[in-house]
Amino acid sequence: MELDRLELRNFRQFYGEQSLDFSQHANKNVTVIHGSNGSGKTTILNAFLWLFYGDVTLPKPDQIVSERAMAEVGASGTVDVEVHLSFTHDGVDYTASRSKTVRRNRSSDFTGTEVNGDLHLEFIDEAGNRKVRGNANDALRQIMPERLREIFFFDGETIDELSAIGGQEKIQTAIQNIMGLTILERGKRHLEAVRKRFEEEVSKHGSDELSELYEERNDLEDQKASLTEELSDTRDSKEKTQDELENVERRLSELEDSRDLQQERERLEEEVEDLSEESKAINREIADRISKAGYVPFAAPAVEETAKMLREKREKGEIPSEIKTQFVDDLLEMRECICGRELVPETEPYQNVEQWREAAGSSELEEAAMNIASRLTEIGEEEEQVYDDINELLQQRTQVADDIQQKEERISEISSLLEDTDTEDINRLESRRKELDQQVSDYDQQIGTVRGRIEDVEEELEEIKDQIDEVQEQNKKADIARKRAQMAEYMRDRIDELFQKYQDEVRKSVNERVNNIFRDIIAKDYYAEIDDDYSLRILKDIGSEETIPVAKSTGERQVASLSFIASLVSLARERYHSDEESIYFSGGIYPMIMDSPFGYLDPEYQKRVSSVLPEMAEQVVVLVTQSQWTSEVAGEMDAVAGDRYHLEYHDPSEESSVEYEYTEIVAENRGGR
Amino acid sequence: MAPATFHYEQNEAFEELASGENAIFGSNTRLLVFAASVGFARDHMVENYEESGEMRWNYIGQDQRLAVISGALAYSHTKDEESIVDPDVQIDVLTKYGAGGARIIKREVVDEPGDNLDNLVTFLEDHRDTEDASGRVGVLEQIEKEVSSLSPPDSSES
Repeated sequence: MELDRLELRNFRQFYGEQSLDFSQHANKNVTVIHGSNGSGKTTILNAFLWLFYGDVTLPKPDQIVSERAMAEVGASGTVDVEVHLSFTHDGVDYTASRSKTVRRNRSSDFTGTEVNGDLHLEFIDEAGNRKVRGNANDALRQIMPERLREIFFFDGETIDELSAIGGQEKIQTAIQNIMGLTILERGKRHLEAVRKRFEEEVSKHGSDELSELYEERNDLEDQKASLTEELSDTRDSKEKTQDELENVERRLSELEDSRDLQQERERLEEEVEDLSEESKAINREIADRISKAGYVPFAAPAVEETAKMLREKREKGEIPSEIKTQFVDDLLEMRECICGRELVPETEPYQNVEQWREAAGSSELEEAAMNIASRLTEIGEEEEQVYDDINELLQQRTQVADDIQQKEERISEISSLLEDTDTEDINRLESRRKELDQQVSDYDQQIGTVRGRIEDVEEELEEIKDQIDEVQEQNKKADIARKRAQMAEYMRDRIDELFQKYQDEVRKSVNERVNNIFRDIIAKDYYAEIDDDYSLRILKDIGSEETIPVAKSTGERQVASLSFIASLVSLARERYHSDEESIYFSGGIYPMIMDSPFGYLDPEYQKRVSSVLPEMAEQVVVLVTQSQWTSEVAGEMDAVAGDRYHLEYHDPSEESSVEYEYTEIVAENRGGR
Repeated sequence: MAPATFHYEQNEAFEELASGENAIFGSNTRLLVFAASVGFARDHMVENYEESGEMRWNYIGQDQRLAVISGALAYSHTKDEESIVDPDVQIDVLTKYGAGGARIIKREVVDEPGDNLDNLVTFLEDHRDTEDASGRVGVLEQIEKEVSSLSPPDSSES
């Protein structure tokens, strides 16, 4: 990013419209802004923060608007505040502006209430057209990542924190961002999330459920086999019993004293069987009548109401109508009346024919009406008929039941007669017959019970099989998810290796640069190092191979931090201009914007910092007090300072004509272009 | 345009009375029309019924007797004469009364002790006792004669 021009409107103490241009000359790349304490140097740094990130690090952060501008509009007036920056980034010209309109609520209110706010980012495309970026907030954060705000816009009074304890994370983040490693880090984090998601899917779908279901299915199949065997055994037993029963009955038919009774019983039993079938047939007939006409008695009132509606339409002549809507439509479409006259739209004859449609009837409605009408008598008769038919069938069924009862009574009587005969053989045979008959009946019951149980087991088996299919399907998903999770883990590990390798290379490269810059500035026999855990340390050589960390003064820490920032900015610039292809890191141009960078430095360090920094960055912006602009600093900076400004602060306590404080940006020298 | 199929509430009564070897009703269609007629007669409509069964509309729409009942229930409920040619309205009325009727049938026929057929016969007989149908057949016969004559009333009188 190369800064071009900053414009402020009513931003904090910068009343009205104020602007400054940044030095862009290759040999005069430093913009110097002088200002006494409280004149607004830190406010200028904060103008960048407000524009890019929407907040400030100043006291009373809500009070963005110039007090003087607020005072001038009076109560309930509005003031516009704006920060506007022109810059170039990756060869594209941008203008960014953040603005806000605030309303003053009362005379004592200098903060105001926001009425509206806007962030706007425009750029010039390749064809030279001005275009607006849709999501200005994200776009600006991509250009100047917020996590690096302390690197890009640094406050000299706190910059030493980078090399203090706890500065590791900031150092690591800065290296990863500026050196383009975040893409790998993001890839790693994303793959980790992907792996977790697939593993959750594995645990969701893959369970012990399937083996439990297989076990349950095997149990049920065993039960079915056992029941089937029981059924077969019972049938065999029944057959044997029936054979014996038939033998007994045959014997009874052969014996002279029992022959007639036995034959009568056999005939009666056949008749009972026939009557039972007849009874079933009657039931089927009753069911059929209810199925085909049972609804009629319930729906008949609705049919009657509908019939009355049709009669009314018929009386009105609507059904059947003399004329059909389709016929009228056809005439209008052909534009010819039945009398042969031409029908021109919007003429009287056309409108007359059109009116016929109102009297015309729909053929569909008429057809439905005719269908209903043609069934009315039938339905009316059915309402009574269905009851009559059912009653008749019920009477028949009762008659059959009576017949069955009579015959069964006679059968029972025959049995008693046979048991009571004087012949012992017949008594014994009849007793045995009764016993066997009872057994056959018991077997029938048993067979029925077993068949019922088999049906239940089969139903359960079907359900289990469905569940197995479902779980097997889910297991397939689990297998796929497991493979995907393994692949995600493998990819994450490979990316992690790559990431560690690049990170280490980058750290070493930054480390070397930091140390070189640091040693250019520091006169002592000290070294600067970014160690494995990203601590920025200052070391002292105590022998041919050993170094020890040394206690650092604020000034030395400040030099180490400045060296670190300068290394990153210079490496990024070097990479940007390099012809070497790089997958992850294409570098970039970043300015160094420094507020009071010389505060804690000894004069010798001030001189060396002033000498080194302008060489590290494409553009340097220095905000300093006159007291910090020492002869050592000026001696180095004067030659490279292009545009130079001073902040003219108007203090109400010192100027009687000034009621509210304000600052003007005054150009001293314009040699930066 | 009539929909090809529609959903209706197929409760336990359908399983008991319209499926298996001893089914009383020949099809789910016949039981649904019976249930809808019962729902209508008892004025029991279920707005949010369970859509547990699906049926082809032409089983009703193309059966002349069932189509008459469907149209009559729809007209009687909506009082809109166009409903006799509107399958959407007929399906809406049929399914809502159908769900109401099927719940009554389950409660008063299926859930009652005893044989389903005997219980159903008793159910019909009970309805006969509450409904006065005397004279209806005459009225319907007369209307059929009047409406079914092809010529408009004026011309037949002249």
